[in-house]
Amino acid sequence: MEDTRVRFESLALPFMKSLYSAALRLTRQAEDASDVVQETYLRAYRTFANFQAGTNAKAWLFKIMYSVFVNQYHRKRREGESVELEQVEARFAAALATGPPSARQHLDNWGTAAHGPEVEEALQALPTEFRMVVLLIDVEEMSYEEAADALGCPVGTVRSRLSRARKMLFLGLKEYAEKLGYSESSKRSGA
Amino acid sequence: MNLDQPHYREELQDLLDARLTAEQAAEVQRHVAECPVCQSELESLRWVKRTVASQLPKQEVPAELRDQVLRKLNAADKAGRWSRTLEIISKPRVKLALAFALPLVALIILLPRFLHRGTDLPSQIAEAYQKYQQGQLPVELRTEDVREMESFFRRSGITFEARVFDLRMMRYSLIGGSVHQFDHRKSALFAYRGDRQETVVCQMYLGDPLELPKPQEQREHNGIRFHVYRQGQVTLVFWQEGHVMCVLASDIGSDDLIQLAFAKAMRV
Repeated sequence: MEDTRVRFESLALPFMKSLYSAALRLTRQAEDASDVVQETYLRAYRTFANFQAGTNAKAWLFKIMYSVFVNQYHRKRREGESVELEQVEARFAAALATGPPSARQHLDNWGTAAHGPEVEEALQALPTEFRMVVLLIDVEEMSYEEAADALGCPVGTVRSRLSRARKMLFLGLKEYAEKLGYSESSKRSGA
Repeated sequence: MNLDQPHYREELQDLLDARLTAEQAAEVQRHVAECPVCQSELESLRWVKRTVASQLPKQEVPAELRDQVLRKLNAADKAGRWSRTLEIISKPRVKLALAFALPLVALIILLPRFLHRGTDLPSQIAEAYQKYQQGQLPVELRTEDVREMESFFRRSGITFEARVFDLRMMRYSLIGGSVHQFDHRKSALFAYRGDRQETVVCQMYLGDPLELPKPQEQREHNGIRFHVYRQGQVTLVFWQEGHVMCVLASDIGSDDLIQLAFAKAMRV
């Protein structure tokens, strides 16, 4: 048993930071995130015999973590969200239709300034399932297939959720950029 | 892409995430080079992907989380060892061996108790009461203070919690107590005097109701079962509190003694 424990710890513990970050972005509460991570490791240890050596341990752990989160913390989707999602494509297209270069201009003018809180807030504004896809693929650099396995859905669903999530993030961050007053005029004036 | 849909949609994301074959990627890139709409969308998506990957704040893991996780794994190991022990003893050969060995062990432990004088527990408790009444069982500590009595028992090698009752509301004062020996075990014995000079003796010892013979009467009160015996003029009321057996012995009326027991018994 000691050998199993040693193998498990060396394989799984290095992912604690990633798991905690994702859990925190799902639960939005540090205490809940800690509970989710602890339960994740416990379940992973208990089912370690089912883990195939050489396969993606990170994806395996995230799959368990998401299952723990869904079973214990996930609330039902708010009413009206489906309508909002259908509007995403239209709003995104409209944002780009104001003149393709200018839609990005606000964002380009952010330059290299750090806008972590705004990005975090935009991410938190996403529905849970969409937020999770962005976390797995854009933050944790998993493949679509690994993300699909972790989320328990088809690859096609991951693909479409990611597409919408990125568009929603664009719309959210574009608003921030406009609020901050970044515009073509700022760029021209050299501000 | 077709004539009805002049622009790519999710193919742009596939290109961004390197999910196209070389041939497909080349076709999409050729279109993007000539289509400002698709070019704008692709660049927007690329910007979002890059921003999320680089600008999300790094989360600090709580310092105690690793220890908490390791404690959970330790608990799982412990539970696993117990589970394996149960697995071993449930094997047929082990079961057979235990089936022969356990009764023998039980006999070795319990036989001395059965051989002692041939008298049961109620008789021994009643005998102790009679001896106390006749002055043949003096108390080691004379006190009316319940806490002092409890402290005495703790100091005197009584390994269980001897909860000395305060019966002043029922008009009984504590006289004192002793560590008593009966049936190869130690008991905490303490005596009370009523305002009409009645005597009640309480004993507490480590035991189980299964050791008792069939009672003359059984009562149940507040979820506790009371076993009532009568030996001549003496009534004995036994009940269990955790691993401790409690018994009140007296020659006051049975109902009065039973009511005292009801009042003082505690469900553990």
